[in-house]
Amino acid sequence: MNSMILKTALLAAALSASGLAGAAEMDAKQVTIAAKALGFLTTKAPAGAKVVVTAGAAPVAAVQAALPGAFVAAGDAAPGAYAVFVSSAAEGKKALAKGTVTVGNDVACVDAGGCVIAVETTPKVTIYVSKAAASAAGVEFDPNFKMMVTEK
Amino acid sequence: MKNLTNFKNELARTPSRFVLAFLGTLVGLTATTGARAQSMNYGSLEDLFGEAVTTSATGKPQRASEAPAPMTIISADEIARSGARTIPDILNRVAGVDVETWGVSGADVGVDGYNQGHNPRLLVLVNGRQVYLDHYGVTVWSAIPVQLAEIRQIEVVKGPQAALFGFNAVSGVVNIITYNPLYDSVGSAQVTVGTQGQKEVSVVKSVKLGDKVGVRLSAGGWNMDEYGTSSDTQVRHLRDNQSLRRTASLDSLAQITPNVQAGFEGTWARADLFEVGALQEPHQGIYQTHSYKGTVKADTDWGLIEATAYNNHLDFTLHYVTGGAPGTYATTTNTTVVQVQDLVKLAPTLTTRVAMEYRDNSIDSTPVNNATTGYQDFALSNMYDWQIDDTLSLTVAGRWDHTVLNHDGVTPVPFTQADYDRSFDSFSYNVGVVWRPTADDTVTLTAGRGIQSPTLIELGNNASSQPVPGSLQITGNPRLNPTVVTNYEVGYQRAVAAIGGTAKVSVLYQKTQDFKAINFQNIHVINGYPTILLGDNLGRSSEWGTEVELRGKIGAVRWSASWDWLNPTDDFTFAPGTVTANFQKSTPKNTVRGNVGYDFGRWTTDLFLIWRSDYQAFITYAGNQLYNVSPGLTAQAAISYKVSDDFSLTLAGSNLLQDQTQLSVAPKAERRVWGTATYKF
Repeated sequence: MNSMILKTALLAAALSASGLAGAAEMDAKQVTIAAKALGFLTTKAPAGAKVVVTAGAAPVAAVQAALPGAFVAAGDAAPGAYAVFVSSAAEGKKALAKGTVTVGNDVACVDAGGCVIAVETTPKVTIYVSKAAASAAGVEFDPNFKMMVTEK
Repeated sequence: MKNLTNFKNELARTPSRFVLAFLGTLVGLTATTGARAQSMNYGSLEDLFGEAVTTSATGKPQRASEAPAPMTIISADEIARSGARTIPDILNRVAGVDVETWGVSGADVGVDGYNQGHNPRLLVLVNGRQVYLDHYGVTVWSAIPVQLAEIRQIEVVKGPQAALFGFNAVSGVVNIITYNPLYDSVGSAQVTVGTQGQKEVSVVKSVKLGDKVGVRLSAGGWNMDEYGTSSDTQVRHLRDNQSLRRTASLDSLAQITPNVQAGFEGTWARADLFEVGALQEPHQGIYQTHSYKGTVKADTDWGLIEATAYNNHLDFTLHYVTGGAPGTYATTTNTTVVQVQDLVKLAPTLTTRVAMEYRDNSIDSTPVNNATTGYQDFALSNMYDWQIDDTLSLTVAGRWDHTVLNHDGVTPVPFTQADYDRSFDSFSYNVGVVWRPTADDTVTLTAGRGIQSPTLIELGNNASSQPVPGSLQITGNPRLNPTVVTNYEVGYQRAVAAIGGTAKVSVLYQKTQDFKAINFQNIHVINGYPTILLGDNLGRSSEWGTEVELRGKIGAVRWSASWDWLNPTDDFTFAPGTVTANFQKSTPKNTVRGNVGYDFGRWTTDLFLIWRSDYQAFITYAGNQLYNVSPGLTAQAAISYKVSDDFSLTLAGSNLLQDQTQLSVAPKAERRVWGTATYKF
């Protein structure tokens, strides 16, 4: 597990250094908030749940730190993933599947129905949820959580 | 009506059986809908959004900073750091809150002025269950069956909130939120020893029964000597008895299905204390309460539905001295409340709450038994919360109450049964606009109208079936109208990076109509009997007020400072001094507070200073007379040392600047010091 984390972290670092990563890569705080938001899904992540981070979406190490019980890997969206951190609406739409929650930090991704969740942390924590994407993923959120987020 | 009476009597006899049956029925109904349910997880939502969350402004979960009402939330950490051992001592730190301290534990709490003995203008709740007592509409703070260590946060909402909470939420609401038995794990044992013979024990423990059932148990109590500062023989007699507190509670929550939760709460409390009553008379109060509450929450296709039923029972005895002779007044009240609400997000930017409430309360007659007086109330309310755009939101709420008086048993004298065949309707509302022109600035405009119902004593329970013709009667008044309080407030808040916190300023204007009080000025002749009414409508009052607060944190130093200015103008129908109310003189006009704390290593320190300007207040030793009160500057302080992760020691004190301090019109308070050992498990 540790070697895998190391490899993915190195891969993410290499991608970032090569300039392939998008300018809107989630920072550690956004990743932490997104991970907490996943905790309000009515279906909790099973131990060892597969979480995928597409290129430039987020630092893999940060995602692993925020979701310590999950198996986090960099790469393209894969079937059976519990969550996929994506960098664009197009990636989100590609990754969206039954049981898979797509996560980003771009409201446009939620507007386009590619991301189930998008998070902002400045000037304050704001969470956007796409009803269409959530429906496509077949997931539900805690009703109190839904009252406090911006649904699109 | 007979069916309702039977229902009430059945509930009073077997409240726990009723609640369980009620829960079972609702669980059965909701479980078949295939819905989803969660009660609000305060801790997780606060952790997610980085600030306190609340439902006390609209009934909808929202961030404290977005609430369309003037609100202060006191966190569990702030409570612990203060070293305080009573809820009034904690509330005393909140800008706009006025605490009149009568003894070591007796106190009345007011919001935005109008505070005096047995203040009936404040609604106090524990997790939504009212803990104010219906006999005088008063809160006996030491009889609230909650240990400080089980409180997650105390929410103080200022101004009328009756459209959401109903009767008595006229000057404000204090909603005490405890840790959730299903979501939160808490274990604490505290022992406190201090001056005034203080001996106190408090234990709280939550237990998980599998993954789907959580129970939180708490118990505690204290013994303290009342202050020995009075030379008045009457007061000395009343203060000879100790302040005593004993409480126990059980709170539980179960995940019945993935979509439905059900909870049950049972509490018991006993409190003996020296205090000042509704006549502004000193007395010793002995209160014994118990309550049962059941709740079901279901997330359905029609919204988040919540049904709650509870029963509060009170036995009280007041020992007083009149004309040098001791007297006793004792009886029993019973209150049953059933509430159903549905919270629906109609559109991404529009949420509504529809609620119904049934309320039934009664007081047993005294000194002649076998009669009860009270009322039944049927209420409908509706709230809309509209996020107009990213910077602007509008909240509108209204509530209609239909109240039917009851009198059962012997014929009430001097009134007749026909006087009790009465009903009245009342309407309350709340409107709030929140505008955030920038990320740092928030402007809040609020207007609210609240209804203060007649208390059970004011409605009358002194049944005397065969009085001597023409003899003087002292009785309640079934013809009494509720008091109406209307409040308008403008607030501005700005995040200020330079102070690491916020600056707030607000201005309010408040009107009180149909003010209620005991009328000793006029002896009415009712059906041939000269009568002193324990409740009478005696005019109106209005008030201007302002509040300024700065709060910040720089490094390890926490600090806050506030100033309140309140200026009531009375327009009463009685001659000054004939009735024990004069809010122009009894409301301290200026209050300044300062709080600073510094944390280093294993140490936590806290210093709180409060200065109140001079005022005058009634206390009825012999007749109605205003006395000067000069509280000046007083101080509370605490220092804690964390011996280990689980064990800490706290040394704290209050009234520290002088041996004796005039905190209120009651005899002076002594300096107090206490030490608390806390073990978390």
